[in-house]
Amino acid sequence: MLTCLLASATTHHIIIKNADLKASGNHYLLNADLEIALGEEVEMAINKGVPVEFVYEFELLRPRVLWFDAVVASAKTRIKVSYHALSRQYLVTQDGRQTSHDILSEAMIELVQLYDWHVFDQSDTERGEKYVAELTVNLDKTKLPKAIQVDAIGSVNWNLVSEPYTWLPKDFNHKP
Amino acid sequence: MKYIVFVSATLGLILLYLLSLASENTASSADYYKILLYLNIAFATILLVLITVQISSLYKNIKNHVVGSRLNLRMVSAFAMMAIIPGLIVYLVSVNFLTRSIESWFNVKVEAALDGGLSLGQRALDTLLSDLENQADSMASSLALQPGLSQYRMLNDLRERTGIQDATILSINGRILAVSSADASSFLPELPTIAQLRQAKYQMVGKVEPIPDKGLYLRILVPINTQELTGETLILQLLQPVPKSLSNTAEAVQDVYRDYQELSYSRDSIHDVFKLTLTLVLMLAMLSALAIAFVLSRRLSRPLTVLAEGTRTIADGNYSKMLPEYGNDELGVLVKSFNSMTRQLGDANKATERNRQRLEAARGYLETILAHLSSGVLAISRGGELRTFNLAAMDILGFNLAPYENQRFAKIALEHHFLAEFVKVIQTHFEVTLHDDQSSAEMSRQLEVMGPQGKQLISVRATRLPENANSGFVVVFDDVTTMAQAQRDAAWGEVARRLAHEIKNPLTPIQLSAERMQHKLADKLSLEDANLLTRATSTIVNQVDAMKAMVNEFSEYARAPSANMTKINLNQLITDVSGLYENSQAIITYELAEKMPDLLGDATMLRQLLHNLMQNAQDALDGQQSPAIRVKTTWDDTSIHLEVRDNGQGFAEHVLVNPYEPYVTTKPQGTGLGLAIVKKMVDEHQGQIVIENNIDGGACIRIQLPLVKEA
Repeated sequence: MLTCLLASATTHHIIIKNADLKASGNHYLLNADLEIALGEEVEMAINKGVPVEFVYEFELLRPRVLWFDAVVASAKTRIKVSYHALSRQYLVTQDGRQTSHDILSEAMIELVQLYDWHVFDQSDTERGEKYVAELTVNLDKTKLPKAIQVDAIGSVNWNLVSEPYTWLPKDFNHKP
Repeated sequence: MKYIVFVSATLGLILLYLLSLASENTASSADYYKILLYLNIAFATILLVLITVQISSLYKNIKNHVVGSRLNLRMVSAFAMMAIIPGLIVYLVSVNFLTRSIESWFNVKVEAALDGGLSLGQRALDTLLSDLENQADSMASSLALQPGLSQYRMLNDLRERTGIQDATILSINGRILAVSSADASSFLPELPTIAQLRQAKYQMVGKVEPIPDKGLYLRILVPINTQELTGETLILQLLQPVPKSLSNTAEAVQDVYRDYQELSYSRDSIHDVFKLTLTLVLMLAMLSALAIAFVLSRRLSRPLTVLAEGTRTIADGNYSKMLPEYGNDELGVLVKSFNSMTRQLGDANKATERNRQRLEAARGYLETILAHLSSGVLAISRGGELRTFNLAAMDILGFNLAPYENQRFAKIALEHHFLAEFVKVIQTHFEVTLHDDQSSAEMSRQLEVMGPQGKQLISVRATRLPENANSGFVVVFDDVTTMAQAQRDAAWGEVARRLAHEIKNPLTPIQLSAERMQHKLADKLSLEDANLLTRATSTIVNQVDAMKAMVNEFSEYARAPSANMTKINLNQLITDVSGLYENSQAIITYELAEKMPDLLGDATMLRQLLHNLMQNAQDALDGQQSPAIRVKTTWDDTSIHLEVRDNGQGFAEHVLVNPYEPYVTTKPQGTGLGLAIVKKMVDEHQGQIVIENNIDGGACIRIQLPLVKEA
């Protein structure tokens, strides 16, 4: 809680406010609500045409005693924000799907709200087992131009990483 | 260490090469670059640690004065300077050059041109968009007038008339109601977002939009305001691709613009990357140079260190240590020469040691011989100092010579006056021959010395030592007292024996003839004549008797009877003999010790000895008023003492010099053999005799006889 407060106090941060799993047929879909503050540095870089990519990682874990938790299922998606100077549009690209926005804050809405992201199937889980779900979001520095990457090594401005958001999903209701 | 340095230097070079490669490439190698960066930093740290360890060990060595460490330091600093100064210069120049060249990429003109190009493109697109907006407006108006489903049929006509590629009628929720498309490749038109649709509900929305895989499109969303009150608001979407020629050019401009923007944004970052790379290169190069400097300097200074170590070993007297061979260069030759020098030194040292031992042995040999010589030996240096003496010398002279060692020889005479002549003789010879070049000058003399042990006859021989042996003198001397005495004794014995033999023979016929003369002629002569004859013959007979007695005495002396040793009590013997002197004119007193132990002796000899002494005393007292003789015996653990004293004239001076010499006598009648015989007998019994005069007049003879040693 304290770290959350500290994080929100800084000008750049990613906070996962809420996340939940929803069953839809055999699939489980993730809905999440985030807060992303890019900070001056990153915003300026986007406006200068540097594409910035965010990685969303979901993991379903089965806790184990005296050992690392077992990863039961995992999913990963990337969302890229870039500025198209000719059309003066902010483009948000996810899985080949692209939307364009006039202003950056409008584009960022696409990033802070995850709708029905298919993360795993019911067959991946077993009945009666306890699971822990975990979501992390971070800015992918490896996709930045190299000069910025090197600069970002010692800089906190590019360090956009969320605290892992973990929750205990309800028991998956298997159909007999 | 050597291998570590070379391996690490090679590794460093590889890393640097990779780093420079990575700096060239763009985004794809960023991860790679980062890894390399960390590797290089780690490597530099390792090198730094290595060098720190080296420096600290060098410092410790210098503090402990380890040989060669200072040289090592000097060489390391020299090598390091050689590497670091040009390195620093190259580094500074490169950094400056790089900064300038990076700055030169960005200039105002280029930026303005790119901005202009971009805005030109934007304006062209805006023009196209406003054209399309006008068309869309009229299309929307036309469609609005059409009732219900006829709108959809009309859509196609309108689209074909205006030459627009895609026209779609959408519900406000994004549902497609009608589509008309000239593009056969796409089945469904590109749909707007919900937000765009909502926005388009009230007013026209026109946008230039890049569509993936299709390029730039112009999208217009316009509401169709139908007259029907119940009907929902419909949205007309027109999609028109930007002409290829324009879009390509505009895209190219926009790409360059973006690249430029990106670059200018990361300008500082690029600076940082190059500086970091260069700094790392410098650091690695210098650290490697320093490490190599350590290796090289150690390599160069090692033979010198080895040499210094060797010198110290030699200084400590160890000649056995050989230095390890070291290459074929000058230093190697030096080490070889050093080794051969060490060997020669060692050999010389060994030879010296051998000589010393030989000398020591010779000295020991000489000393042993000297110590066991019965002759006294004195060595006197050229300066007249006493150098060496032996035990026998001290025995003969009767005092310790050690305090006179290395002192002037003449000093002996100052403290022992009886040796004055002895020293003087030697000194004189010494002085005479010292200035004379006759090296074989020898001197041989016999001296009489009145030492503490009585009169001594000393035979002295002095010889000059050869010139190279400090050219002093060696004095050899013997105590020949006993020998001379023995020779004299033997000579007298021989004389006595012959005399006795020669004289004794005619005596008996003389005596017989005289007696016969008296016997035959006494009756035939007158009384007067007869009386004369009787007197004369009796004189002859008496004198012959006396002569016989004398001859007997001689033969007694000359005879060398083997003593028949038995246990005898001296007191008993004295008592026996005293009977014979009861009628003596002198008053004889006897002071005999009580419980006198027996001594081993010849009874006849000792009785004779006592007779001789008593007789002597009695003779000496002839004509003396109140003559007295005192006989005294005492004894101690080792011997018996006999003392015979009289109150007569005492011995004359010349007698005391040689009392035991035969024919030395004070008596008007006497052979002088008495004391000689006494002396002979005392010698037979291994005793000692002392003859002296009493302080109050009269003679005293003291005899000491050894006691029987109880086995």
